[in-house]
Amino acid sequence: MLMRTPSSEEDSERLFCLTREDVGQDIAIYLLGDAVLCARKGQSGHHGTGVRETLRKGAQLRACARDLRARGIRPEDVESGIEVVEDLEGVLIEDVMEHEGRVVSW
Amino acid sequence: MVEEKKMTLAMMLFSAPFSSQYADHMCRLAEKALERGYNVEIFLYGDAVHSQMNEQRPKTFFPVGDALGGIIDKGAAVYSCEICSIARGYIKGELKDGKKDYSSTKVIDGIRFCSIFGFVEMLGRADRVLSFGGS
Amino acid sequence: MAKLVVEISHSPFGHENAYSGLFAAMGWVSIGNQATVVLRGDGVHVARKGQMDPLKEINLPPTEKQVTDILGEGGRVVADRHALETRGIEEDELINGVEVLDGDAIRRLILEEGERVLTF
Repeated sequence: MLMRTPSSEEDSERLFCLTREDVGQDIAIYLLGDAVLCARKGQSGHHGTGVRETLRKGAQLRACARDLRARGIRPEDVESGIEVVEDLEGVLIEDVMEHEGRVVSW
Repeated sequence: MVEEKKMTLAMMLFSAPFSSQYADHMCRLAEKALERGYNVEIFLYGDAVHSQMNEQRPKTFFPVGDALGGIIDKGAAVYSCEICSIARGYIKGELKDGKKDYSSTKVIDGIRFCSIFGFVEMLGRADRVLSFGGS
Repeated sequence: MAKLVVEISHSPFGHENAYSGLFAAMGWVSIGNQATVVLRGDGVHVARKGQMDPLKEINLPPTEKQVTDILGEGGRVVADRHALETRGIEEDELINGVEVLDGDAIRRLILEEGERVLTF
């Protein structure tokens, strides 16, 4: 679960590190609050690498629709492959509680 | 009939309300978890103890105080770090008649104070843990 | 043994993140559990030895002692290699017992040991 954007390349490495493993398809990242800014298309450097690598590895990326709207990010502005979810908190809770695995929140 | 044990979600909040949205995210997720029938336990740590202040009246911010009160009413256990609360003037904490005096007129009803050991015991009970505001 | 990973990415003492995270880790190991403190980003400064009485100087608890205590109780404290290198911190500056791991190893550690993860 991400609730902020990476502030540097090092920070981006840290926040998206779990997707570097070749278990990308077993990983889901939920973007809440300021983290939805990571979902915007066309970002370069540490602003965009994390999301693109995550998608390339086959991990699921879900962004909170409410937080996107609040920040003026329209559906067409969202990087392709990212799922925009209306009730992201509900989906997150269900996934966290009902699936075995690790949960990390930043 | 054997009742199925409910799963428990533990949440740690480490940021003060209003200066960031971490408290908002935590409260929303706690509400969703309670709606879905899970146990919820929360620990307010560091500046997050400011969330326990009663009579918060934010004009436009997410109403953290009201949300926490609602979460308590719905059955969540909300613990607050006693050392952090003493430091910030919420409770006395001194021994009175052999017991710690946690009396306060400043905090939301239902907040329970505990030490770091209370927190780690809470973590031990949890099936899942979410962390807000530390990173 | 129940496992906890405490990730610290802030240096002592400008924010209370470092010592707060270390208190949580210490509490956890002191009741017989397994804790791994993962130092990343500016948090690698927690691994440096030689603090000179921060309690007296700036009224804040010595994180060096907290690290030593956690190690003494059987906890692990690991620091990210790349973060140390970019900050010019050599291995001989580190508190005895702190391990240096590269990014891949830290990632695997979080996945393996992170039954519960707190981020500070």
